[in-house]
Amino acid sequence: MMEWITALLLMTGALFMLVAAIGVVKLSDVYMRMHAITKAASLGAILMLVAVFLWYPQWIVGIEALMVVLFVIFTSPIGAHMIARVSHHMGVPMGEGYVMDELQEEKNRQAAQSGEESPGTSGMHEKVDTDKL
Amino acid sequence: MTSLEAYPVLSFAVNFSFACLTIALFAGLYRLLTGPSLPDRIVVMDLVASLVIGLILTYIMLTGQTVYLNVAVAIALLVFMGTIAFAKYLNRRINQ
Repeated sequence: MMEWITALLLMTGALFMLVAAIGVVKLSDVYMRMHAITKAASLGAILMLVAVFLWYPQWIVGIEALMVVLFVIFTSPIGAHMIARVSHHMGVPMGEGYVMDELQEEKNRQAAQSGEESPGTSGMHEKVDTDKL
Repeated sequence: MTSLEAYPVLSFAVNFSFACLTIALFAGLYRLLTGPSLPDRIVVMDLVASLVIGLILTYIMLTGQTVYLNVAVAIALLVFMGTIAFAKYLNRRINQ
């Protein structure tokens, strides 16, 4: 019974990693590719770590597997956030179908505020500059 | 190969995982070679680190050497450092 559970977890984790790689190939944009690897590859690694801990139930294996799980959970969103921010600053083009881009709105608002003289009428410029999107 | 001979289902699962991860590595290599921008290649670096962690875990299942989990811990730490270093480097290159 434990053999079947371990085999199922191992194959599911490997399939999630394969889905992440297919997403990196097939998706059309840096931001979408980042979306693919951040969730699917992390979930695959976590499932395979659970499989290893179920097959070798020693406490040192459990502690190290828990360490890897915590590292992956905490560091994967931070790394994806920094790479997405840098690629947005670099001006990497976006694909079709994006609904909103709040960082571009913030950049437009700051450019409008630094460009005008009186800060009292910034609300109007905010509305004008969002039309450029 | 040595410790899994009595468990045919798990042996099949290990082979299946090796096949999936190898195909995923080749897919990542394709995106690494044809990626249009530098952040694409950094994303592929992150993906390849996850795939190598998966390969190490499958190798642990195959051989029974649980010492190799230390390698998985070290790679999980190092790839985060690498991603942050690449982001800082690109940010500095933009600001110049």
